[in-house]
Formats: sequence, C-alpha cells, structure tokens
Amino acid sequence: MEPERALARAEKVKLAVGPTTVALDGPGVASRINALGSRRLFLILRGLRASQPPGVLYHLYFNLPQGATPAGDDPRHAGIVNFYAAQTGDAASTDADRIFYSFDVTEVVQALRARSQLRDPLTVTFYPVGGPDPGAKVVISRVELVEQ
Amino acid sequence: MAPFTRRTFVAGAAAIPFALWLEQNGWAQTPFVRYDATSTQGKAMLKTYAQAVQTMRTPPGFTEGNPRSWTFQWYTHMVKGSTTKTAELARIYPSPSTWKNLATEMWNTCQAHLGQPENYFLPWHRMFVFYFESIIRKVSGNTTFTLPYWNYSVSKPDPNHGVIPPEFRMQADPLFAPLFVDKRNPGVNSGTPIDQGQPDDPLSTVALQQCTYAPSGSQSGFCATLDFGLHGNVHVLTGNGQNMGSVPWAAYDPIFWLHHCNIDRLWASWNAAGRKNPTDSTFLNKKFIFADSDGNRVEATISNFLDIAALNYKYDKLEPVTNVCPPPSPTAAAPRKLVTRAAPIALGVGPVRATLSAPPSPTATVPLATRIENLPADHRLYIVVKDLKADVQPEVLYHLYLELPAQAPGQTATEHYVGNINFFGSGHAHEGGGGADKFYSFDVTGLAKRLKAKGLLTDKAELTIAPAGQPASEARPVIGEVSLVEQ
Repeated sequence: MEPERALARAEKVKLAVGPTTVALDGPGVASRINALGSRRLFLILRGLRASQPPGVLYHLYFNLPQGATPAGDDPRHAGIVNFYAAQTGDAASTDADRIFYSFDVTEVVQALRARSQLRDPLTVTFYPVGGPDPGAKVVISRVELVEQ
Repeated sequence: MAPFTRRTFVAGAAAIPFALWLEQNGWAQTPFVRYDATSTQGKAMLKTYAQAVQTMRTPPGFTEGNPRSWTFQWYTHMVKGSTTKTAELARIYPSPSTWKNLATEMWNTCQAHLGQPENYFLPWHRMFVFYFESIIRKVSGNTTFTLPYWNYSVSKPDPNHGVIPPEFRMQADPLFAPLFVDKRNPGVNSGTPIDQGQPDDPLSTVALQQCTYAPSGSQSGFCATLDFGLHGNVHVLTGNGQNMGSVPWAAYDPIFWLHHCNIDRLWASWNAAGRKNPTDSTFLNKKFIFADSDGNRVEATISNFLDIAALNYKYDKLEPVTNVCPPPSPTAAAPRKLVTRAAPIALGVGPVRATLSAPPSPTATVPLATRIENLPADHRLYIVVKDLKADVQPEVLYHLYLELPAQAPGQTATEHYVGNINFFGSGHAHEGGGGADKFYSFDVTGLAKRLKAKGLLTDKAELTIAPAGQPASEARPVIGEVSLVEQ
C-alpha cells in the first residue's frame, strides 16, 4: 500500500446553521496537486461530534464562492456527510477521532484544475440542505486533504 | 451420544453449536427468500409484519419487559433518548428476573455507536435483523415470513426511488396503521422521495465499490463507507431527532428494520462479488447476546453470521458491483520483522529510547547490518509504529530518530530522523470495545543504509521518541509495538 501524505488540513471546524467555509491550511496545495501523478486524493473528516442530531445532510464543495448557491450538479461537489453516527454527549471521547469519513476527490479536483478553478487556499464549504437544528452544536475535529 | 432433548436445548441454547441450533429451530430447509417491499411477495410479507408489530406492542401478551416485545427490541439498539437504560430497567423490572438480566445484557448494544470497533457494524445488525425476523415468524405464526427490504436506491426514474413503501403511510388503515409513525420528516409520509431537493445522490450505492471491508490507508473501506454514507443518509433523510434521525429513537420506527434488511442485502451483494470480510480471530470470535424466537438468551458469534447461505436465507435480487478491484501484487513480499520491541513503550515528557531486537527466527543470529547489506534490490525497510493509545490527546507531535547518539555535540539529529507521529484518535479502549487501529509506517531504507555505511547501526537498533513540546500531563501515551520491517 502506498504511504499517504497530508497536503492540507483544518482543525476544529464548527458548523454554523448556514453554510460554513473553511480554508485547508497547507503550502502550495494547488501546485502539489499538479504533481499528483497516479496517486489519488482523499478528503478525510475525523472526529464528527454533535450535541444533538442536526437533522440534515451537509454537502461538501471545494472553492465555493462566499454566498453562492451551488447548482444541483455542481462540479465542485466533493461529498455528503451526515451526523447520524456522530458521537454525542459523554460518548464524545477521543474514540470519535478514530473513525474517519473519506471521499475520493481526485476527479473533482482534477476537473477544477482543468477549468483553472484550483487555487490556494483550497476551501471546503459545508452546505446544509434544509435547516439544521439550531440547538445542535456540530464540530469536526479535523478536515484533511490527503494523497495516496 | 444422548440426543438433545427440548429441555436441554432450551437450557443450553447459548452453548450448542450454531448449526445445530438452526436445525433445532427448523431452519434447515429450503432457503428463505427476502423480497423487495414493493414486490408482490414483499407486500404479502408486510401484512404479516404489520400484524406482528401490533401484537408485539400489546400487553398482556407482550409487556414491555418481554424480550420479544417491541420496546425490548427497540431498546436492544438503544434506549430512547428521553431517559436512560438504568432508569428503564428500574421502571420495567422492579424485581430481579431472567428478563431483566437479559435486558441488562442486550440493551444499548448497537454497534458501533458507542465507540466500539466499526467493523462490528455490519455483523451486529445482521444478527439483530436475523433474530428479529425469527421473532416475527413465531409471533405471527407465519413460518414462511421473511422481512422485506426497502430498496430506496432503485435507479431513477423508477417511481419507488427514495419513497417509503405505501404500507408505512396508511395511518388510518386497520391493517397497516401499526407501521405508521408521525415523526418522520415532512413529505415522507405523503410519498415524497426522502432525497427530494438534495444535490448529488445521497442514496447512491457507491460503497459497493470499496475493495476492502476495513479501512485501507485513506480509503475507509466498505463497512464504514456504507455505515457513514448511505446508511446514515437514509436515517437522517427519513426521520427527525425523535425518529429515524437519531440513534436512540430509530428502532422504534418499523421502517428501521426494512432499512437494515437492505443494508444487509448490500453486504451480501458485496460478498457475492468476491470481496472479503475480515479474517482475524478477534473479529471472527466476537460474540453478542440476543433473544431468539422464544425470547431465550442466545450468543451469536460473528463467524456464524458472515455467510447468508449458512443462515439459510437469500435475497430475491442482489445489487451489481460494477468496478474492478486491483488484484494483490503477485510480487509483493510479506512483511518481515527484522527487529522489534513488542512490549508497550510509555512515553514521557522527555525523549524515550526503545531498543529493538530480533524476534526468534532461523536468521535471528545474522547481524542486522549484514541483513541490510544483503537487502534485495526490490525490498524496502520500514519503521512501523503500532497500537498507539492515550488517555487524552498529548497535544504534541513526537519525533522519531534511529540510533540517535545520547550526546552528539555538533551533530545534527536530522541525520537520524525517521518521522513524526501524533496520537490523534488513539483513545484507550473502554467498555464495549474500542482499541487502537492506528499505525505509522516510515520508509527508512535510505536512512538505515546510510547509518550502516557509517558504522552507526547496531544489532539492537535503538529508536528515540521525543515530544515536540510539553505533552498534556494526563495523556499517558503508549506505543504498543515498534518494528523495523523488511518488505
């Protein structure tokens, strides 16, 4: 198995009631993606926690402009995350960090590059469809772009 | 050998071989077939299901404390979120009883929502559905009953895509009313597809494309991808926080079982495509407690629940698996530990040194330097760090060095640098499971050869592990094993 290498990450991402955008911190992500070769890119989420179920799905988009509403077939769509299995309350120990959600985003990122839409910093927007429960405190410990 | 009597069977249900238990329960016959809920056969089964659901909710035949009651089966997944398991045990069982003992063992055992190993998600739910189905069979008197599955992923423009079967929407129907629950999401009970208005495809069966069951590098594997993806999406899209959208409430809704029947079908589909389940003994030998069709305690072992043919059931239709997984490389060598330290290494506030030595083997007496000198051209050397655990996050990185001198004035440590590790996600095991799945692998081929060339590589290779900063005092990080591996 090829070793994996983290390209960029964001830590302790707190999701708001509306769309939340985070920048993945990592030097020259766009240029490193240009040198990907045959390796694959994965967007990995770890440590999903919610004080109560937010009750919606979150759709993930790369480099979505502030305030933009994504189209149904938006090419920046990277994945979908739900918080059904998210650790809640006292169960939200370090065990939640062991489990990770992984999305193969190789084609999405390559398509962004082909359209000259790949730029630093690479951002990820968590876009809820529907209204999340405003009482749900939703946190993701780490969002990471990894090549393998 | 004396034959089993019914008395001995009932008394020893937990101890007899599972295959014999199946036979004793009359299941060694033509395989049962589970049907799509929208098929003619599936719709017929839903009539039996609705009647049984009503029966299981109705005292005095089925009080809440009865292992075959609706509440008991619901609580096996998880006790409702408005109270606690302790409080419900006290309320439902004011006196000691066999049923109370069984409830104590069974309730809140859903895998893997309380930090247990994720790999248990699929087999535990297969067991849960299997025994539940057997209870329905017994309660209804319909010995041919099989639980239908809800195929929400059927491709558009099929009108059934994402639509809860109509039998679950008939609030006033004298037969199907027990299948209705009002706390589902808006539109669901009027036949709106649960993914209406969602971009992309939350009901996609893309998890089937995973090539391994468990995580492999950055790929989360079939079990986790299915659990966290499609499975969780259906829960959230179907019901709210006091219904399918919340773990403690989900199993109250009769649609829960058809959902998990479909998840089981997808697992069967993945295996039918030739993809393999884990084979480690910890996984295979893991046991869970359930109630059988008579409400008696049974122990279910994962190894007995990996093949639905052995459980005497099949599905009318499996999902196709369309991608091709790369075959294992025929030239890939099995990893071989050259030197290792298998005893736990407790890390402190300062650098810790761990000495690695050769494990017992025919080549153990060959000096390490010689083995590295004779390394085949296509082999590499790796430092593998496994079984990381910590009470809490140390909140620092740890840097690793190979054969770092104790005192090296003027000599930079970078000549010995291996890499760094962190303890993110390495919580200690706790009740119900957990455990450390995390490992690090560092290619040290060039480093080891350079050190050898300089005469700095000893037979007992020493690894120095140094924190970069002040670790959290309550962290107590431990590394279970470190090895220098040739592959």
